[in-house]
Amino acid sequence: MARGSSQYFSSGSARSEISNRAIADVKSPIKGLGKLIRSKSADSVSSELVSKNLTDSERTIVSQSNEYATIYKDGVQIMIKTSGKPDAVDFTAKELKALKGATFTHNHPMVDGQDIPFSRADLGFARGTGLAEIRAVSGNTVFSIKPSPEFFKIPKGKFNDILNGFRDEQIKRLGFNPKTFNEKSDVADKVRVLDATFTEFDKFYKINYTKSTL
Amino acid sequence: MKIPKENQNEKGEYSLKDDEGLKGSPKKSAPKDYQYTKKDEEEYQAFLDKIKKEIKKGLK
Repeated sequence: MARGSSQYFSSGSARSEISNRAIADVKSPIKGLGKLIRSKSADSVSSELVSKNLTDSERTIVSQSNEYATIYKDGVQIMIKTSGKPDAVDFTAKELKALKGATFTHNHPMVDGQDIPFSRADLGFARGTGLAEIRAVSGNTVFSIKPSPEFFKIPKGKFNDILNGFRDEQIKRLGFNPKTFNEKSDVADKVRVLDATFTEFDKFYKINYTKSTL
Repeated sequence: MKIPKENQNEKGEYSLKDDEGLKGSPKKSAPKDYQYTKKDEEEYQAFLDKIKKEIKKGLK
């Protein structure tokens, strides 16, 4: 039974009672974690996410202007995180350890009307933490990566060079000048390059990169 | 997981930050005037050959 979760909720409201009941039902699959981990900056959206399954969580976070992450292990929700920022979510070292083998989903607020796919940082995060699956929801799209063992064998010191090697090639293949691309390209250009990069990277490292409709 | 300095926030925690520079990007698409050359193709092939070798080595 989870303990001590009431500190994360405002008291006295109907929502608080529901959330506390829901959280009490959550048994953490992780040794040493007695309760669902939530950000100190948790807000009403975070409270709404408690005990929601993956799809329902994604439908809740996709329209938010700040980033939220919800994490599941063996089908059980283990973490809800937000940092109150539109482009980042923060994790402590202890939380990072708990992510091995987990399914991690987060939202990418749309930019200039574009659904935003994974960033290179997302892929590095999946590698470093040993995630079973990383997902990003943006607009109407769910982006997913389920890395294979080949992916985790990339030497740490070579990871960025390899990923950037794939990216540089896609920039050129799409007809953009690699020297001016970062400075001159709009969001749609950058999204096309990221998508092509992950697609090409997938052919070699079997990350099972997919896109589906939310 | 040791947190690399470039990924740390002000508290020393890991910050999963979307660092693609999407916000503040120009509103106009970049010109598509780059001519993909034979040399580019050869360089990419060499890059892929190296990767294939690394993967093979890793699977042993």
